[in-house]
Parts: sequence; structure tokens; C-alpha cells
Amino acid sequence: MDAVLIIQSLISGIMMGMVYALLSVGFSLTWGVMHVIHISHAAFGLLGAYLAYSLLEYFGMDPVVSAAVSVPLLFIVACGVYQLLIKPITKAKEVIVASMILTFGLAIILENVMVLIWKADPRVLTPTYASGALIVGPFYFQYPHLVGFGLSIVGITAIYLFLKKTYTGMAVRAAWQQPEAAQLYGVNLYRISMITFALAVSTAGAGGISLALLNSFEPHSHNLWLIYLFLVVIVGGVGNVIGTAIAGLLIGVITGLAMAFLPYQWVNLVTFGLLMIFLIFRPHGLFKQGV
Amino acid sequence: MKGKRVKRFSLFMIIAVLCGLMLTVPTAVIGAGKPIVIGGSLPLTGEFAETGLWIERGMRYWAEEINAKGGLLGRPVEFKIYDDQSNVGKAVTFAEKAITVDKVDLLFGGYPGTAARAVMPVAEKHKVVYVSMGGHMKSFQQGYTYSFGAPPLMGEWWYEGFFQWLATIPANQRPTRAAVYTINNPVGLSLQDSINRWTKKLNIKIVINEKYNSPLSDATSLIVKAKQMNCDILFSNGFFPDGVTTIKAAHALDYNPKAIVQGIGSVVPAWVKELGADGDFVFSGTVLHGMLNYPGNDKLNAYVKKKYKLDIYPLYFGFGYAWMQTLEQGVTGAKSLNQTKIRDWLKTHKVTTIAGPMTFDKKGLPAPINFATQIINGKVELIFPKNIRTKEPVYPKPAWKK
Amino acid sequence: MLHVDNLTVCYGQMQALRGVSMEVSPGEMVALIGGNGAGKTTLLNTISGLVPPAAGTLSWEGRPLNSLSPDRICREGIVQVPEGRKLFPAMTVEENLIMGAYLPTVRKQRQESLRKVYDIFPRLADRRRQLAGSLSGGEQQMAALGRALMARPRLLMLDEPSLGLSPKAAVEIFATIRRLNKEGLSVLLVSQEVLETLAITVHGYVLENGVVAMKGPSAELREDPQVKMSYLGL
Repeated sequence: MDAVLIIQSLISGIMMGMVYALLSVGFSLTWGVMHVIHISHAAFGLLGAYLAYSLLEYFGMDPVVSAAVSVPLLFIVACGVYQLLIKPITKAKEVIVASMILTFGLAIILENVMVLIWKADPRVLTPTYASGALIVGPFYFQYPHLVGFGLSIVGITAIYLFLKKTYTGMAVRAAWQQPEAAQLYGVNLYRISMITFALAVSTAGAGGISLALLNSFEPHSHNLWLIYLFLVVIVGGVGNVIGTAIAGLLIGVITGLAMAFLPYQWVNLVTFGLLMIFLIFRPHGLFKQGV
Repeated sequence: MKGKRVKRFSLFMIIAVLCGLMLTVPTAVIGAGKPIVIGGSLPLTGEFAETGLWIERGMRYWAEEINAKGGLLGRPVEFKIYDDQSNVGKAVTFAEKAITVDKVDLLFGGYPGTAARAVMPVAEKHKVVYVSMGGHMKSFQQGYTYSFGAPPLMGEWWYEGFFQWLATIPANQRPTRAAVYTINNPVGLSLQDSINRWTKKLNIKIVINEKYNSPLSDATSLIVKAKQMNCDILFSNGFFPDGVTTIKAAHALDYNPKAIVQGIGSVVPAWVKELGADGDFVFSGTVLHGMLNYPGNDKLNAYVKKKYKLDIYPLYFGFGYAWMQTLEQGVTGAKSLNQTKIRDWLKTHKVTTIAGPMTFDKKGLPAPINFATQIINGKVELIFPKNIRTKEPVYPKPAWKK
Repeated sequence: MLHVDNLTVCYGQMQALRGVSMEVSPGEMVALIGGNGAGKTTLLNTISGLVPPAAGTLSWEGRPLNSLSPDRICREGIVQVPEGRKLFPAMTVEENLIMGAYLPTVRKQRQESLRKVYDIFPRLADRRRQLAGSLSGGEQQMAALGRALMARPRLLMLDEPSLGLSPKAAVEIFATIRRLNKEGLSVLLVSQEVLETLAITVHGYVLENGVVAMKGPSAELREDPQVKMSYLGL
């Protein structure tokens, strides 16, 4: 094996991994803070990708620019979804199971809405720099990959700083660690849950846009993305932002290396074998749970 | 007392419903005899919905046409189409239901190949003629006698036309080293068959031969390998999503082989629409094309021009239409709706379709059909055989535009 | 200041509190004693708004508290230090304290509050960057108390502040509580350290099986033979 191939595969793996991390970080938060396993998370991500697609097609807006429009839009939509659908079930006894069933239904509805609006045709996000690359020595950095990678770093950093540095972010962490005590000091759990949920959905949107810069997408692509969500969150630890980021990178790097060293048909076997091993030996992930 | 009232009420309801039903049956139909019902399922929602809808449109156009001409065997035709939601299991269930519960007169073909393949044994079990795409050779090697591919979408034949064309160019201009990347599923693997046969014949060395699983999240290392091994022809034996990923990586990494050959993805309208200029010059195959000089194609093109504002009918519109043409000729030839008689007629006679004339062998397949296509200026052009050529092929592929 | 009148609380079929009445006057320190399961924690949680009352009224400076959510009650200045401390274990000491000043009304004064808490508990200042989960029991209780002070309470409710502490740490905590009360803070103290509790409070209530079994000045309760037998082991 020669070095160029290995390093090039590593570069691709790292960029891809970071995008998976952004797509997953919100999934991890809703799971950790609200005990809601949000199956339609990836479908919202896909919605973000479609919004970017349409804004590019009709207004010529670059995906990064349009993210400034679609991400807040998704935040508002998610607040409504929380009030209408998620809030009622957080009172259920088995929140995890109830939320999985409910949001599974929501994912199907979203998918069909996307088929209605954008049709079942596959789509490709092609900004002006779609097929360009930054060339450094023998190595190629594809521009769309770089932009997706950059968007992901910004997104993850923003979420991390929000949780660490803002009062609301601290309340999110407090609500996850000690909901009762958080309430005693004035944290309104429903409000915090709504913000967590809406924020998670927004990051899904940004993650969806980033992923769409890397791959083509169709209304059912979210099913595939969901598998990666579980993979990243289970490796990174539920509710752990840094863990999610590292897990995303790790999975990207492992996939990249597997592509360099192994026959391609083994790559998924390696990646999902990893998931199995984690579920058996480290069901709580590499890192401690918690935000 | 209460029971009696309930009974009287239900009786009243039944009569009311029957009256309502009689009103809805158009009088013309009563005059012309009971309609012939053609049943089955298509993926009208889910993954393959876009394709399924075009097949349905093709079928409905055929029905419109034949009903205007006075129907099939003098009876109007109508469809009973279920939506299998792009699910193979549901396609099988609906085929069973159409045959055993709805007792339809004829069965129509489904999509994609995986669904068609699963419906074939059902058709065989109930002795019902089934005209579809089939998907690949294996589905026609199971000894089924009621299944026909008319025309089929045969992975094993898909590159025949391309290689026949490649054989016509001088040997010193042909590529010599091939990189073959194949999606790890029956359709992908069926594409390898012709590559193996023809590369030997044309003295092309297969330098890389790798399978990948769907989803292909990144093609960087595929392209890096092909580039490093100096492969001057790239076979991307996959579907749309992985095809797009591969093409984008090839452009970004500035990999310029003499030819790029794509599996199924490039003849889908989305290829040209979504990839733009990057999708150009990719070779592939087809079994149908609106520019083919067979009777009916002009009519179909005119129809889609009027109705959908398209210059040329989409591939799957043609499939839906051609399958119904075959079924129609089987029924009129046998002068009966007896499935075995229809089968026997089809096995012994020639049918004429928009994909050309066909006679079927024991397996239910016509002689191999294969036309080479190339995307040129955003259009699927026919490049081989020469007599049907719509545009001169572009070879070697020009370097990527910066 | 705080009036609890004829309060009944149910958990499903079970009545946890039956017709409980009590009050806390401004600047007063009131003791609430009783055995396990007598309903002391339930009473605090009902006042804090975590548990809804089934019947009876709660009022604060003449205004009803009954249907307010916990965050609204905290806003009123009624702050609880819950049993078992319930710190945010994966947050630092300082973050825990800052969370105490979460409400916008007290948020502005948080730097000042923080300085005050560090003055009272210098040990917390040393450990400010440490995760709350890694503190010793005594330090955790300090952090919990400090977090409550950050909310600028007018009525501080403490649930078993000395539970699980070393005798020395318990003495320290009680001394602090007493000092805060001396400075004018009203306190409702729930504790199993009956002797110590009755020594520092003015009034006391004895809860048994969800009803107020006895009440009166703490000094009198301390001499009561029943109390002596049941709670002081004398």
C-alpha cells in the first residue's frame, strides 16, 4: 500500500466523519436530555438538504449562505413539532419506546412530503465549486467536502459553546443531570426540552446540508443516515458532544483506512462490526455519557 | 326486536349500496361487455416512485389508445394498480392478491428487477402470463414458462452494444487497462459478465476489479487507485447515487480515462439534470430509445411532447408501453384470455414493439438487445449499432472542464 | 410569611399528607422533624411545586401558591436544598453555583452572589473548577447550600442537610445555617438530627404518617417525653 492512497483516504475519512458528527450531535442530545430517540432526526436533516437544494436552484444561494435561512427555519418548525407531538408523549411512562414509535411515523410522513414536493428523483447539491479541489502536493481536498467539513466544525463548536457558555445551555445540561434540582432553581423543563429539540433539529439540518455536499440524496436517504446516527452516538456516548465529535472522526478514519487497506466490500462489515463490538463490550460508548 | 331492526337496516343498506354501484357503471361499458381487468402493483411511493409513475403513464397511454380503437377482444381494458411502496414483499403480496382475490384477467409487469424477479414464481404458480423487465439473467434461468422479458432489462447484455462499438475502433486507440468497480448486488454483478467476456476478446487488462457495498459514502480512494494504476477505462457498475459520487470524485481528482462506462444510473433523467456537464460523455447501454426507428416511437414522442413537454419519451414510459404491447398481441393472437393459450402463442409468434420485433426462446427472452448510449451535451444519444446512431460518439473523453 | 393550611397530598391511592397546617414567619427558623416516610420531603416538594396538592391551600405573603410551577415558586424566593444534595455531577462547582442564579431576576447579581458564597465557603472557591461529582460529602453539601444562596432566597428550605456527613462537617453546616438565619433569612429545616435541630430553631413541627402529631416552641418539644422517646432515644 502506498502512502498517498492511505493519506488521501484518511483525509476523506476525517472530512466525512466530521459531517457524520454534526448530523449526530443533536440526535445524541435529544436522546440524552429528553430520553427521546428521535427517529425522524435524519429526515429533518434531509429536509435541510432539500431546502438547500431548492434555494440553490431557484435563488442561486450557496448552501452555506442558505443554511443561515433554512437552519433557523427548521428551529421554528421543530418548536411546533415539539409542542404538538413530542411534549404530550414526554409524560408517557415509556418515553423512549413511545418516542421511537411516534417519530418513526413522523419520519414516514416527512419522507412522503418530500416525495410530494421534490419527487423521488435523486438530487445532487451542485454549488459552483462542486467539482473543484484544493491540491496540496499529491493530495486532493474536494471543495464540497471542505465546505461540508467546515460547516460541521462550526456547527459542533457552536453547540459545544452553547452548552458550556450560555445560561440556557447550562440549563440543558443541568436538566439532563438532575431534572428535579434544575426545576427547583427555576429551569422550566418543557421550555428547555423544546429548545433542546429544536436545536437538535437545526443541527440535523446543517448536518444534512453538509452531507448533501458529499453525497447525492433521495427522499428515503434518511433511513441510511439513521444507521450512521446510531453508530456515532453509540460509540460516542449518549448526550456527549465531544464524544460525538470524536466518534464521528473515528468512524470516518476507520472507514477511510478500511477503504485503503481492505477490499471495498468489507468496509461496511468493518464499520458495522465495530457497532456490534461496542454494543456488546461498551454499551455506553467510548466516553462517559452526559452533556 | 332490536335484532330485527338491525337486520332490516342492513338489508336497506345493501340495496342502497347496490343501487349506487349500478349508477356508477357507465352504460357504454354494459353495452360493450365486461371490461378486461389488468392488475398488479407498481412502486408509486417510496424509493422507486418516480420510475413507477412513468411506467404507469406508459401503460395508461396504451390503454387509452386501445380503448379508443374498440378495446381488447372487443372489450374495454382497465387497470387495477396497487402501490407496493417500492417494497418487494408487498409487490409479491399484491400479485397474489390480484390473481387470487381480484381474479384479474391479466397481470402486468412491475418494477424494479428485484420485484419482478420475486413476482415471476408467483405468476408461474398460478399459471399467469407475466411480461416484465426481469432484471437479470438468473431470473430467467429458473425454468419459468409464463414469464417474458419484452423487452427485458438484462444486466448481462447491458454493455454488449458498448463493447461491439469499442471493437470497431482501431486497436491502438482502445483502452488497455480497466478499473472495474461493481456494486455488490445481483444487478451490479450481472454487469460483470459482459466485461469479462469482452475485455479478454479486446485484450484489455482488468487491473482493478473490486466490489463495494451500498451506500458508497466516498469514492476518493476508488479514483486514487484507478489513477495510480494508470487505468484508462473506468467501469462504474452501479446505480445513480454511487455513480454520482464516483463521477464527482473523478472530476475533483482530475482523473481522465479514455472512457467512463456507467451501469444503470446514467440513463435516468436525473443524471443529466443533477450532474450537468459532469455527466457528459459517460457510456452505458439501453434496450429502448425514443429515437429508435421502430413503429410507434414517433407517436410516443409526440404524446410526451404534448402532455409533459419532453422531447423524447423517458425510458420507463417506453417499458410500460412495450410490455402492454406484448401482452396485447398475445391476447389478440390467442383470441382468448386463457393464460396458457396466450403463453403458447407468444412462444411461437413474433411480436412487434417499440423496442423492435421479438421472438421468445424457451426462457421467455428475445435475442439479446443492446444499444450503446453516450451522454452528449446532456442528452442520451444512441451511438451503436451504426444504423440507429443519433450522434457520433465522443472518444476519448475530453478532459474535465476546470 | 408562608402559610400551609389543611394540606393533603396523594401519590395515587396513598395519602402522603393529610390535613397538614403549618407556618413560617419572617426571619424565623422552623424545624420539621419525624421518622422515615412521615411526609417531610413530600411537604417540601409540595411547597416547591414539584408535587401537586390534592386539597388545602399554600400561601406566600398572602398570595396563593397552589398552582404555580417550580420555576415560578423559585422566583418568589422560596428555595429548596433537596435531600441528597442533587448537585449537577458533571458540572463544575462554579457552574453548579451559577445554575443557582438561573432566574433572570437574580442572574444580574450573580458575580456578587458568587463572591458572597465563596466568602461563606472558601473551600468552594478552591474547588471551583472541580466537577461537583468528585467532591466529598461535606463539600457537596456546601455546594448545594451555596447554589441555593445564589438564588437569593427569602425562605430557605433544607432537606436533611447533615445526612451522610461526618460529625465535624455536620456541625459546620448547622453553624452556617444558623448564621444565615441570624442575618435575617427565614429557614425551614428538615432533619433527623432532632436534638441539634430543635436546639437551633424557634418553632417545631412533628410529622407522623402524614399528619402533624405535635407542634410548639422547639424548647418545649425538646422536653416532651414523647419526642424524647421516639426521636432522641432517651
